[in-house]
Amino acid sequence: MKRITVIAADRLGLIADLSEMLERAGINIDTIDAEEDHGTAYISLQVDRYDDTLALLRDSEYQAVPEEVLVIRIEDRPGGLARISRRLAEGGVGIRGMAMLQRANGWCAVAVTSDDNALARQILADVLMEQL
Amino acid sequence: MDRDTRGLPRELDELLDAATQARNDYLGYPVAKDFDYRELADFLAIPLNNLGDPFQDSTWRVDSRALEREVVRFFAQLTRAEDDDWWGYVTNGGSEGNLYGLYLARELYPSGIVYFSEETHYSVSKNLHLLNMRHIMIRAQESGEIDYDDLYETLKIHRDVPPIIFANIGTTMTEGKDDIARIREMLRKLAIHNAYIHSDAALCGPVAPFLEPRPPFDFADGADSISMSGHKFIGSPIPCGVVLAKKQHVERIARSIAYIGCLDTTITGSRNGLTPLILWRAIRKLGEEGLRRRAQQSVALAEYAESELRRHGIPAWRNPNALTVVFPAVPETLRRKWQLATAKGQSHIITMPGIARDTLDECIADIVRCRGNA
Repeated sequence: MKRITVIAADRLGLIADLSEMLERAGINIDTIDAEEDHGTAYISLQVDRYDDTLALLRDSEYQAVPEEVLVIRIEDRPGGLARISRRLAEGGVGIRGMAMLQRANGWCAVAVTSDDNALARQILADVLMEQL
Repeated sequence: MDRDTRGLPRELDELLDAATQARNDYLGYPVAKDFDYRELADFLAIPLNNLGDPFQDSTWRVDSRALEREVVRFFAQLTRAEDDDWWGYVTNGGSEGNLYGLYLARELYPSGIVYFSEETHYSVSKNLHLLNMRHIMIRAQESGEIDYDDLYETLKIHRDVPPIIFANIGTTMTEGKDDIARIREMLRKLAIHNAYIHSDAALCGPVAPFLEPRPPFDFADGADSISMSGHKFIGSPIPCGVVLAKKQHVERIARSIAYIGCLDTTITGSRNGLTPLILWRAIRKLGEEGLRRRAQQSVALAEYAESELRRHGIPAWRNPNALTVVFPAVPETLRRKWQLATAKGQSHIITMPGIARDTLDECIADIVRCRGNA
């Protein structure tokens, strides 16, 4: 079953709000795991209606990332993304895109799309956030 | 405003009422409201279509391409394009102009990486997806302007790949303006020769030439293409814009697409023939001096809004010479009433032409009252 990662500023009641929103839309959550890191919540979901969930999250306040996109966490300082992209390039991985999802407390959650996710996962294992 | 609704179906009459009211109330979206182009009504009975490239001959004559060329020329001069090295057309809005700029950049540098700040308009991500272009997001400063240190570090690491810089000349929320001259200097320092800079001047393009100091945003500052909106600062009942590019670039891609037997380098082919008339009428009426006055009035109104909010204890701020006044997010009721765009805990007012000071005062009073009740 495919996984969705939700990235949001951490706050009390976040998971409850997210779960209720999905419940209202008639979406069943099969698994849910969450981790807080420097003020950012990373919530990993497996649901019975993958596409509907992505669409719902897209239209809401949450940043949702499909399984095909890697989520990493890096220090929020100039050149941070550049260094990640250089590591991927040196490892032979072509980058399709890199975008910041959330910046908080000196750390930044980043979405990475590449032409070889398996290899990219190995190269970025130390900063990968999706293996919750 | 006079209205003639004779014979109009009820649904349209009701829609006209609702849209008129909504038009009167908005303060948070960058769209001028002080226009009236009903003098062009007779053109509504003609199938105007500005097929393809406005500078290429066509056997189709039901068009406004001659006036479109005048519009493009006007904006090319305004953005300090070199004589005989500019080309452009009237688009459906700023996003199409941005799509065109990125398309041109991709054709010139197929292996290039696009760099854009995190404050960039959402449509750019859509365009990058559509064009299948590699991209890296760059941090933004609080002002909305790109973080030059982050850009420098990133360019330094990818010196071997042609950079395509997507520069914002007025971000959506705070009207932050990236400094194109500074970016050009950065590229020079890094000895990067193959590079492309697109200037997204959707909001500020028709304003920036009249600001003191003039923001570095145009061809003389190092842009390769510029997208401007027509329905924002100038005002139009139909979304429109102008895209301009260095002619040498367009000629290169024209050659590359010649193999498909087509010399049309525009995005859509069939193009709106009415919007060039609207823009032509506007620039004919206003001229450079009219646009200058309009810019000065809007900046003065923004200054007033900022100082009034601050006088009432609301920590409002704006970038230098900006029309966008930013303040802490207001409650949902006020966002709806005044159509105030809100994101990341901030709301804003944009003092576009046609906004009355009375309306602004009323909105500020609401914001102050709400804060008092909080």
